[in-house]
Amino acid sequence: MLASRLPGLLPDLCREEAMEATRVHSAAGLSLHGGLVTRPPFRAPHHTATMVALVGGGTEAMRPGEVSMAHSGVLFLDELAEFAPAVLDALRQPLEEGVIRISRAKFAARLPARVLLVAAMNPCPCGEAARPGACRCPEGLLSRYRRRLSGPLLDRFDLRIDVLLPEVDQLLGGEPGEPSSVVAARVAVARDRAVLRGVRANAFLSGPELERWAPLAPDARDLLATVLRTGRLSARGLARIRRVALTLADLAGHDGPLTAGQVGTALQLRADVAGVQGVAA
Amino acid sequence: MTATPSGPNTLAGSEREAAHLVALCSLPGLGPATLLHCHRGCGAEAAWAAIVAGRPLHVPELAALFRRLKEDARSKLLAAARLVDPVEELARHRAGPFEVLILGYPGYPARLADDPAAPAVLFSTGRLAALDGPTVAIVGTRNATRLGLEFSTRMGIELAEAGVSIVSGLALGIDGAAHRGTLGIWNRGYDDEELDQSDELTIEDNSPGLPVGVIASGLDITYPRRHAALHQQVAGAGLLLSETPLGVRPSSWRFPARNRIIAGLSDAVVVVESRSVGGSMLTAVEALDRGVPVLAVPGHPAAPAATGTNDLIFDGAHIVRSVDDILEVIGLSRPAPDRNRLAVEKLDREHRLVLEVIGQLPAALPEIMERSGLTLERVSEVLVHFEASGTIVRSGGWFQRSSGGVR
Repeated sequence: MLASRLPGLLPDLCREEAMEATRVHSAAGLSLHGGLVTRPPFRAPHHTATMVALVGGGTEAMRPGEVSMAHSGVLFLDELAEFAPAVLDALRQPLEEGVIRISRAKFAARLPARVLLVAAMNPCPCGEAARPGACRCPEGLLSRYRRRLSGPLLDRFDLRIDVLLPEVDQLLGGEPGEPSSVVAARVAVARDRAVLRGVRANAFLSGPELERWAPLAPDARDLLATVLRTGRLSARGLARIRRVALTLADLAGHDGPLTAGQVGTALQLRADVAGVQGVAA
Repeated sequence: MTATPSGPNTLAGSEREAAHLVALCSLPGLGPATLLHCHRGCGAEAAWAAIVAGRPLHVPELAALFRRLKEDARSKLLAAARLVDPVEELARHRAGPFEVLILGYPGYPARLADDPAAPAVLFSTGRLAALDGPTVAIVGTRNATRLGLEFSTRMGIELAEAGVSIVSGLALGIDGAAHRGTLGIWNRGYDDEELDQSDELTIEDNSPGLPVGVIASGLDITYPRRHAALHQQVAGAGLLLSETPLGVRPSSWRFPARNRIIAGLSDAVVVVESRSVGGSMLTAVEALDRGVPVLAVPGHPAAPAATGTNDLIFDGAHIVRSVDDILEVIGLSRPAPDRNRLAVEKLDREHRLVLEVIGQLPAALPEIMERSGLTLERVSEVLVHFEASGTIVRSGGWFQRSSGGVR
């Protein structure tokens, strides 16, 4: 449910994005409802999807894959660990470059594939690991489950969050939380700040641009130094943390160097996923 | 086989006994009981001579076994003996890192010397000094719950920190988790920055306990295969023992036989999780037979993995609520006050607040925010600090105090 709400939070596509998305959708034979695709698309392929279905291809006629059909929008992979590992690893290159090149005997194509990738999985096969100590999975099953996700793929997720079981009152009503429209307005403001920096979103800021737009306050620098010394944060992870912290600052309307609180929050949002990192390991 | 002039007869008495014991124990069908019988009675050399001559019934220590054996097992055993040269067999078991320990001779673990079912011969690799200090066995089911595994690891850490060596069987589940905890301390090492800075009460004259693995296969065979790395690390950091000759895969009878050695080597046996029938329950019985205190970790009555341990407690085993209960049974106390408690006084208000609301039970982020009244940013920053220093560990979205700064 969370993931399907996500496109509603994103601003309308700009003209260039809309053209790209419309071209892909047209090539894929999707209904265009008369006119340009102006809202971010949402694609949620089932976990039995083949590699061709996900990245595109085909023998007779070339068909864009789900990752291209979700271009400029959201690609949601539910039950991530149930996808074939080879299929998932095929996503690594398009995730990094935003395009996918497909070569077949009869044709070669270059398709746009810049998506916001969202994925969900159970922490373990029995699904009980959300409560401490309740998981009853045998060790062998757990290690096979964890092996299905490669480290490089996980590393490309900026936000990794353990979703806990909701409390009983939350299930039976509780406070409704913010409506999407309110959040969407905040997102639009934050995106506008990114556009002022010359990119569509903070995710596209390069290393030197980060130095310019996301300087660190002294206490934030100290905090990162502490974490880097423990060896749990890589150089690539560091840049990703700064982009997330900058986005948090944008959402809060905060100017100036990134604070330790923003960096700390970004670090918490990029947790080691329990089922994947393991407890005893 | 080379016909060397240094036949068995030129060896010293203890060497002759060693060579023939090793040869005897390599024979299929000849178990630890018969071996001990021969060693304590007629001597291994006489027994070997009788077998090679094909007249085992002439030696009373062997007669009982051979009367019980079926005809084909008997001839198989006699045939196997013709292919073994005792001197070569002994040399093979002393090659490389391996050592041969003979009951009644120097080097043999004193703890087993008076054992009613002591192994007449033990193969070892690693540091025998691991058995000098206090020892506690941690055993349990292979099919353990995550909570059980975590508890086992934590005991492996805390007991070792108190200078207690951990005896276990290197099986999957509880056994492996306990040894991983113990090894974790050694991997941290003494020159670790963190230890130097924040821990004034370092363990200097009181070095941590070592892992002691007692396995059912030969020392060169890793079983289960998934524990190959653990097998190596235990042999490297601590001690690995087996009464099974090199190159022999474990047959099913060897596991309960191995459990009696675990019980015999330990000052106390702790069962972490076990169903009512299982190898660890047998270890508990072996411990009771030897007057070794048995402790059990209680569990929820509905949890299958706790039925055995709850039964043990019902039958009079000591209850384990924390590592202190184990230390008390073996007459020790914790070496130093809780390190986290020491550090708390140096912390600022927010850090102390977060540590307080987490308490001893796992807490989730929204819970910590609600109870401390701090913002997400403040809580996140504090938690990152605590995670980096190892004061708090995170698993599956839950934050929990760690016991000894373990990462």
